[in-house]
Amino acid sequence: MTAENYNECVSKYADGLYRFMLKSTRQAEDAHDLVQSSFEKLWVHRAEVNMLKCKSYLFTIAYHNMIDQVRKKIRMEYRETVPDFQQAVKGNSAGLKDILEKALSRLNERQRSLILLKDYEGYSYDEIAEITGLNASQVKVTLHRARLQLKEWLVSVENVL
Amino acid sequence: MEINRNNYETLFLLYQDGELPQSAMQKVQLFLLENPDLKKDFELLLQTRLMPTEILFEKKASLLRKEDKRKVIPIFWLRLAAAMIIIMLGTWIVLKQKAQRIPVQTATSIDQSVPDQVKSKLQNADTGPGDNKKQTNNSPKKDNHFPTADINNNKVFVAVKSGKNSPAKALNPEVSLQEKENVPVTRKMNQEMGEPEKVKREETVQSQSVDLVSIPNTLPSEDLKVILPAQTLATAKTTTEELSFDHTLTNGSESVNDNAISVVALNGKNKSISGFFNKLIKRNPRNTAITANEKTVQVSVFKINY
Repeated sequence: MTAENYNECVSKYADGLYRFMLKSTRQAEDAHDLVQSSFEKLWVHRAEVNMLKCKSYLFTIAYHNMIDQVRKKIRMEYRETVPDFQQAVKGNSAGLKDILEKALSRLNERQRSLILLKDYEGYSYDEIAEITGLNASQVKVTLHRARLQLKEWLVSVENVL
Repeated sequence: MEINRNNYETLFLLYQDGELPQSAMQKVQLFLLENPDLKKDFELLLQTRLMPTEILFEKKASLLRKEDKRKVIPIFWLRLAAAMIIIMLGTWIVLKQKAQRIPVQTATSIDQSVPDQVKSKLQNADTGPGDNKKQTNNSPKKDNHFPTADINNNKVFVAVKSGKNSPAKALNPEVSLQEKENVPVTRKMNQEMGEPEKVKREETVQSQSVDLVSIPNTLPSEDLKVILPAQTLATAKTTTEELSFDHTLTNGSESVNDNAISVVALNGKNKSISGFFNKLIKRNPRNTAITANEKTVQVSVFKINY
């Protein structure tokens, strides 16, 4: 990969990677740092990375960095946001999109990341497995459990409303 | 996989995730038509899908890079190693040659390397008024135009090289003749008196002549900046008596053979070698007028700094 290819990757994937990290961590600073460190690593190893694999390379690095470095922090902050979610639902001021966003925060890091990779980036189970280091079967099971959890939340919100 | 009311959720999710082949998708669609009560579950699962939102990374420009155009200068290790070997070899050769430039003259070779101009200088010094008054009446030295050491009168002739710090003079060393009177045989040290030391050589042989020579020109001039101050290192009462050395001065480094005496003394830091060469021969080879029974003492004083 040349410097030109690298800059092309920045143009194409920096926004998506930042969104993935921001939705995963819910912390703009953490998301920013993770994006920067991911692209830094891509630049260092650009000679070994194929342009076609650039996106999955970036998401893989970002995912593992996020899991390794900020898991505890994320967990604590998400637990603290739960009352806000209930309040938002009761206040009937949130649309389906916001409710889903709040529901997403109830999932664990792995479930949330898999949902984001599937829905935002459109990766297949195999591709998600490659990025996260899981096998395709684990991806399938994890994703399905996350979907059913989200569905239950939607049903419960409907009941509240 | 056949779809039924027990596994429809999994197949609904696989359908929505696009993970089913075309044939399986048709079966799911058919199953939904046959089971309209499950359509709401299908739609609820569909609602769990997040709608992509556009979020921009504002500092995208900070991620952009340019190829580093700096030229890489390769290090040729083999060439570097070869250069180092050459430098070390050259240094070794220079040091070796420098070490060889400090010769230690043997006593037997001194008289052969005495330059003619030194001899003439000695003769001129001999004919001077200061020298004549110190010669004894029965000394053959008077006839030979050589300074004579007369032990009975305690007169000693000392060879001193002049031109101490001048390389030009050192290349053509001059020899001046100095005379020291009334030097006791007991080797009283002039050091104690605060005077410059001078080498003294005494013989109690009748009709003895002293041939004073200087350092040969072959010695490097820069190494001969200072002639050793005179002091009595060895004495002998008669020709048959063995020379008695002052070991405190010679540090036990003297050696005597049949016709030569040499003393070499190293200073404390081993930075200089000093001493004198004596040669005792039966006959003065340059003066046939001296009888065969006479003894000639040739003295060379030196100090080599290195």
